Amino acid sequence: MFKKINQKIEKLFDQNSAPSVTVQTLPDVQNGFQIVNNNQMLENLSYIFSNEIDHISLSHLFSQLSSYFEIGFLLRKREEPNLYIVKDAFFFSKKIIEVKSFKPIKLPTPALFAILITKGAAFLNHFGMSKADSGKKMISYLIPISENYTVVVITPTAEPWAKLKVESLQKTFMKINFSL
Amino acid sequence: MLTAFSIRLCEMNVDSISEGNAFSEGASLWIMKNDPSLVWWKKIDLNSKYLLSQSLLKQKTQTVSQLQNIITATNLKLTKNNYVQNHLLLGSEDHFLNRWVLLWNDLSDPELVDLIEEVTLKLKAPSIRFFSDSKIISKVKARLSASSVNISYIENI
Repeated sequence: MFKKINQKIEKLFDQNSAPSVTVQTLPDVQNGFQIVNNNQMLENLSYIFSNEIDHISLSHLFSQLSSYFEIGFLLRKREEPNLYIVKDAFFFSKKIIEVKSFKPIKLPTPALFAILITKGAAFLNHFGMSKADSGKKMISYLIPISENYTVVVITPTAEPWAKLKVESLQKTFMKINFSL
Repeated sequence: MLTAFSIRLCEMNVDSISEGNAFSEGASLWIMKNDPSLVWWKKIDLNSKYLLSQSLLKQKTQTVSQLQNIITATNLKLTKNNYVQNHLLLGSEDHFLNRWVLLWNDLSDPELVDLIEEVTLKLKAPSIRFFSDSKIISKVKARLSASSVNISYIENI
């Protein structure tokens, strides 16, 4: 009897009290994002990921970077030399779900953990996200973290500050055991 | 009778909290899906010095050496509990103006409602706040109506 009453009440609430869904536009997403500038916290990630990294923890680690950088791509090498596909991506703290629609990209192969710098547009235009860098201020930093995986982070932060943060990221990666 | 009862329940408020006040006091138990790609998951993790990541990812030493020595010396057997790990309750008083964070995973809506009811009542939590899963709030509200638990959720979750 009570169960029936409960079910009826649950149905009653179902109809009218669920919060409404709001659609966010690109400026909304960008304005709502607050970057974390604590480089020590970024370096502390190496403690959290001190065990050998598997595919699940790699996604988790990459996801954590979305608090420190505006845009990021985790790229996996394909059989063809220097050709990479996007495995994971974030955009102003939000995970990009449809990464399979991104075109594969040819990348240089620097030494492990070496940082390569280029304009943000190089990646954003390729992945059809040029609107994200309408001010042309974004800079990309590419760091190979293993033989098969490369991380690209993109930020509009001016280079002296961004460089410090990317160096902290490099230190973090160097302390993590990537066997993938 | 049922209608009168329902109307009384409808009057109970579910507070909508703005994103800027998400970490304000007013809820002792925070509830969220264990999904590291969620924005709020990352914010809570970051603001608690990676409490969630540490609890979920950092593998503890399976058996500490002293315990291993005792087991070897006494021929005792170590048994493991095969409990289902579909939720995790963390104490978070040191990091936020709350007491606990409840993370859950792989649960259907009815199972989640059952879990929230059980945890809330066992902890005697006077107030709960949702950082994800706004669609089940109505069901939780109906279930907890007798215990006058305050419910809030974050806008745009």
